[in-house]
Amino acid sequence: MKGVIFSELIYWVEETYSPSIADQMIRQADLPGDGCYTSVGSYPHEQALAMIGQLVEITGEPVNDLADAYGYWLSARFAQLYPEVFMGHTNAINFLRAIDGIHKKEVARLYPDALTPSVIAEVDGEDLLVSYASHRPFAEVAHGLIRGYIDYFGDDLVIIRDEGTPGPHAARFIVQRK
Amino acid sequence: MDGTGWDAAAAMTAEEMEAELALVRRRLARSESARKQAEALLEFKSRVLAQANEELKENRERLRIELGQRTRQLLEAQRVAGFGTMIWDAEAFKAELSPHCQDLLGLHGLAEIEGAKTADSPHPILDRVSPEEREKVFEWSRRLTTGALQLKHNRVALMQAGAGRTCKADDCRTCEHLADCDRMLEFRIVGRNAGEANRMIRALAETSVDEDIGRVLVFITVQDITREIEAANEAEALHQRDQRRMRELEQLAVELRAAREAAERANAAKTRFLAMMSHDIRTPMNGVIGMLELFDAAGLSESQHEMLGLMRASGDQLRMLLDDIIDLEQAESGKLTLAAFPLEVGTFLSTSIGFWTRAARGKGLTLELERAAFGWRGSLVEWIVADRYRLRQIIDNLVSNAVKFTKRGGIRVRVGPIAEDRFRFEVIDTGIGIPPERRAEIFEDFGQLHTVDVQAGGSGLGLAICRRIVDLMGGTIGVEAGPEGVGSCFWVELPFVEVDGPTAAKQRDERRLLRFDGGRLRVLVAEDVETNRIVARGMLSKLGCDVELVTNGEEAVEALRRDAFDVVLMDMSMPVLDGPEATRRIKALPGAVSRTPIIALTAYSGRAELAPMMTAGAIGVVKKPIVLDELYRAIKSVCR
Repeated sequence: MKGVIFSELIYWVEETYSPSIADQMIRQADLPGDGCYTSVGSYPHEQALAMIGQLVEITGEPVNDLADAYGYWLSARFAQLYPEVFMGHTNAINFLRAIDGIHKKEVARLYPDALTPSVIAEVDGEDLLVSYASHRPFAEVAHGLIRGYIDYFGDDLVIIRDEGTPGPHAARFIVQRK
Repeated sequence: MDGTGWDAAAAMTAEEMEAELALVRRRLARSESARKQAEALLEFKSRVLAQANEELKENRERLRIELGQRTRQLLEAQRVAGFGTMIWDAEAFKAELSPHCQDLLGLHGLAEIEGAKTADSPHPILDRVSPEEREKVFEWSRRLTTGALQLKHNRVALMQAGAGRTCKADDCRTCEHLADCDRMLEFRIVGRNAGEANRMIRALAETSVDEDIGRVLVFITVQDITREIEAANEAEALHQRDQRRMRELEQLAVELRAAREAAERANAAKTRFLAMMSHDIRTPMNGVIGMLELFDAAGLSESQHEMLGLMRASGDQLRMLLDDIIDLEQAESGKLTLAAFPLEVGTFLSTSIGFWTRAARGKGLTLELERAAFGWRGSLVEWIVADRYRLRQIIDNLVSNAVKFTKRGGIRVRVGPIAEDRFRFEVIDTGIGIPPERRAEIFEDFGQLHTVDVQAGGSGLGLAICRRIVDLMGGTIGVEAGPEGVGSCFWVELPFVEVDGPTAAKQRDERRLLRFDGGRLRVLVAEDVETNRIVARGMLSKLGCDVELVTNGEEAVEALRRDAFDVVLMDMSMPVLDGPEATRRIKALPGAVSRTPIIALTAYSGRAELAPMMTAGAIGVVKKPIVLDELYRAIKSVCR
């Protein structure tokens, strides 16, 4: 998984909780590189899962809430880090419909061997159905990201998780008008 | 830093401070470690990039070399094939010229040129085109440009219409436009320098869309066709010359024919004159000879007796000469005719040859008649249909010549069949012989060899008359050297029709006779060739028919108007009125006569050739040469 997810995770914990909680999380996770991540590197996603697991221990908050919150925070960071990806898009629906193509194209250009999740958005009447599928269990992070994009564009939309969908590896979200 | 921070720091215990410091150190260490990771990664990526860049450069260089090679090969191929290429970009209004194209158009070093705006404006290509063709070349290029732009326009319109349609001939007017515009143009490039010759150029244009650059380009191949044109002109000149020669030859042939006809007319006139004279001379001649016969030889001295003998011999010779001249005239004017009567071969031959025995013996020569087989198994038939007088004339001529020209030795006459319906007789002597180069001409009129003429006497017309009689009989006559190169062998081959002799006729099978309503069958034969008529008559007589002969279709129709016949044998091709037309007329005659069965008599064997007769109304066919059985069957089938 791309290093940016790891470095931003530590950054988020430092910002949201404190540098010492971030430090504690890293130390307790007993990571091979002792929590040294660079956004241009790649690392096993299990290390991110280990860190979130420790954060659950430290904060006592549910893992899904934490993952969703991280995703939400990450969406704003992406807007800061990669403004060119957001350029040309005026609303969340439009952006979400394009995201799978953009994501794959941008990642593939820099990291030809990267395995990217599939995020497919389809219009269903007035709703937008966004399907997430990945070999990594980050469906909640995806939920937070979508939520973040809606707020970024300031759209009057709400995201609902389709409860019929299986779990962290695959999920379907319904984006609809409030 | 605000007061709170200071307060907080101040409130920290040393232990807490220590922990805080350790935390900061760890964070710094992580940052440092991450930076080093990033740098290492960056360096690695840089190396990968540099390597990729190297590979790219190498690839580009390889492609550049390959492109250069291909381009050189293409240009070389163009040079070898003798054509250049020009790529006309109608939008850019520019053309790219291959080196050989530049050479052909006399534009050395001009690889790119702009289009011409008018036919008159200065332009590198138009300036080289012969002045009278400038307008034509300009108009051609203008139409190609318009066509290409229109094609582009249509494609854009189609793309905008969506659905990923591509240009098709059906919906692209440009294609039609280009089809209308002749894709080929020929023009002359005028040599500019003294040493530079004019040359004929053929340009061929093909418009195509370059999808990679999204442009419509016109590809024009340019070819030097000067030699081709020269060759065509040369061929045309040769053809004209041949035509002229042909006309001259035809003219010559016409003149020759006219000259020959004039000579023939003159010759005929001469022969007629001679015949007339001979006829007129013969009357007083008969008087002279008759008187000489009556002259009483008694009381004459020996020398007077000798003189009288000479006078009689000269008289006979003169009469023979006159007869020959009259025969020849008859043959030439087509009046020579053949009679046809049954003839017993054996008796006829022994009598004819025997007549000359005395003369031969008188010269100390032998004269023998022998039957020969000539390689044919059958034996000579006993009775044939023939003209006894003319046949005798041939034999007399050949045998008398042999006796005349032979001093020592003897004469052999050999007779025998050479086919079912042909016989040959040879007169072989041991005389002076005839040089090979003169063998053909002795059968021509007055063709007797001059050298012997004086000694031997004679009109020189005998062999010419023989040839004419043999021709009339449908045979051939010739001469070759005698056996072992001594003397001559004169030979004659003649067709014959076998008939039953008077004795055999009595015994012939009654069933073979054709009868109609109990009586003798009346047959009308229309046939222009006399031999055929004789043959037909001979056979029909043998079949017990009464026969009437006519020589053309008109006479046949007339005969039927006059008289009734049981069957008509009608030759297909005859002068005056041919078989098919005569058949039609007979069929159109009023009354029962129109129902007279008509049998086609023909030498043709194909269905197509027979069709006119059958369409006209003939109901049977008898092929020539006529075979008795076939004739019998044909008549039997139509007169049932």
